[in-house]
Amino acid sequence: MKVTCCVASALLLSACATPQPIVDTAAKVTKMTNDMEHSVSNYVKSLKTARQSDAERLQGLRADAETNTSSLRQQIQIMTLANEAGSLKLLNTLAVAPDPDPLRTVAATSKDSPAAISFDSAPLKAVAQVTAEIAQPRSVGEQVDVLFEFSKTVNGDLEKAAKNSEKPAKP
Amino acid sequence: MLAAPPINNSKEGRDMSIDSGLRISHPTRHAGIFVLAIAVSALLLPALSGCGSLYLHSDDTQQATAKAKTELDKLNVNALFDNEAAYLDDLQVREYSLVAESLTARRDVELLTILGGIDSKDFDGDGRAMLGSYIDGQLRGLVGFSDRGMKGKLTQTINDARSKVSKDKSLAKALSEALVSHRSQSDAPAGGATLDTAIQKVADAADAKIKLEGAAKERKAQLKGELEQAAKEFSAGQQNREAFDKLLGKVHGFLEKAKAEAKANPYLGELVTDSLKEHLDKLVEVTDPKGLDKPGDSKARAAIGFAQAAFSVGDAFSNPPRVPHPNALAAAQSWLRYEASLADVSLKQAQSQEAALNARMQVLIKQVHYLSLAGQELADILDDPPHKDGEGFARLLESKDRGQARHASAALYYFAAAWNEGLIPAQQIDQVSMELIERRAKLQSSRLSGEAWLGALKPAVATLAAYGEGGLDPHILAELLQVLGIGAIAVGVN
Repeated sequence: MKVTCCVASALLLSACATPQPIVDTAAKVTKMTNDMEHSVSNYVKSLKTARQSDAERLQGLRADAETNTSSLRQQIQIMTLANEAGSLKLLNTLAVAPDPDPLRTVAATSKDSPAAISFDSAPLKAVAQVTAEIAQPRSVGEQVDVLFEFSKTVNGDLEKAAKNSEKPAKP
Repeated sequence: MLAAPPINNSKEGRDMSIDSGLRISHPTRHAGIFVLAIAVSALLLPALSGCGSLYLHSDDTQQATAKAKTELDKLNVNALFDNEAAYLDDLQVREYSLVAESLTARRDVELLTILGGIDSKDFDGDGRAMLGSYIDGQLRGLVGFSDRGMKGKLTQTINDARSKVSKDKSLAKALSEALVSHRSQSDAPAGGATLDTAIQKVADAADAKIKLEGAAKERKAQLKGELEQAAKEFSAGQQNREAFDKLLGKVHGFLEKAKAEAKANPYLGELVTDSLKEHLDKLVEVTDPKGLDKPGDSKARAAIGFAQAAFSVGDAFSNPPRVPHPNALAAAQSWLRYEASLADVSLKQAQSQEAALNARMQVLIKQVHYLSLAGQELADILDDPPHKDGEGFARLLESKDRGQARHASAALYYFAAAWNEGLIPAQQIDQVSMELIERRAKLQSSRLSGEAWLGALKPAVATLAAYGEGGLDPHILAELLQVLGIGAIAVGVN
């Protein structure tokens, strides 16, 4: 009898252990989510650095444009004062605006500037946390705990059923 | 039909099972194990001994795995990539605009200088000489010489080159030959100027494309033949472990070789993915191991071989044959989509770069063309009586001689057009487009990586969620115990 109980208990405990393929899958998912979180965070960092460098380049371009337009403004003012309206009128005819997009790569519709870049890694962290717990094989104590939780539920159901059966039948 | 069993509801029985807290006290703990051990093993012993995957359901695990699935579904990596795509579009618009603003100001300063003139101390000659010097300066930068005063005109050279363009001769090649001929006839200095470099880049890109496409076509046929032969030998020969391992080796070798070559040749990338997809589709059809015993099973085994070689899933020669789990196939398909799309991104990047190089060459040709025309119009009024040194071009435009005014207007118009349709867009492409093409390609690769991460993670998390949902349910077990009358035994043990 004792041997039977021991065998049965061992079998039950083994049923409380997380199956190895699940442990393996959970471990892989944990690693992948952590890797992905790391990878995406690095990507966002590199985008921020690139945007910083873009801002500096744009500032340089803006300064160039400002220098050139300032020189043009001065010349226009001088010619206006010198009453050279003919030349200025001719300039207006010749000075057409250049093509805003020579390669036609961006849709013509005007768009607002996009928001600052950010990434919410909370979902990935939550997944990694859950799967990391599953990936840890259950100790015997934890298996016993699972078994007791299980038995508690079974007994609870049995008790409820017993109580219900005790109630006097309705006339 | 079994009647519902009588339940012993004595006080001892109730006390045995659950105390007021969540934990069961120690004296009763052993009894709990014992009771359930007997009860459940009586029910499940045969099943447990034969099936290692049978497990007890846990609400906590179910909630945790369901949460993991929900959290993963919440993840929106695409928002990140959409933001970057919008940013790059916006950056392009702003950079194009600033480059254009800067250059149009320079253009207008030059035009005003030509029109209004400058101090006679600073310049020998009138507005015509000023315009001429600007034309010469730009042409020397573009082709190394100015055609003003030469018999042969660059407009004619360009038109000749355009007329020689055919299926076998690109504009770059035709123009390159035409410029060599032009230079030899007019003692102009050899090439190496901006337009020559632009032409060379276009020609190099076109040559590289032809070579890579040709090489890819040849390798495709060769590798496909090798692969089909390997599968055929396997199908026709002995379907044993040794033959299968040989096939695996070949498939492995094929994939490694093709993937390595695809890195250097984007046109070859499609081959790897097409071949894998073909076999994976076949594999998806045969997800039932019993299918392997039917006629044509060798093809299915070969397909499993592909999946095993490519994704390390499945084994056609285990007993029973281990067909990959649908979730493993979903992950594999996601990987395939990623590989296929990456090959496509490399191809598109190469095409975009080629298109940008071509566009740059075209606008430089326009610049040369307009400058040459401006020089020709100017030549028609150079013999007219000179004006004072430093006097502007506006005076010529006001001339009562309609012919002179017309030539002067045309010269100025073509000079402005060389800026508007040549120099400015060429600078925009140079300073902005090339870098953005590379950044957009990288963004696309990153987007695909993100999708591939999720494509691999989602099936795996779905597997965990399915595990969490499954297992032996305690409520079902309780019902079973009642039905079988074991409830009474369990409660009565103490």
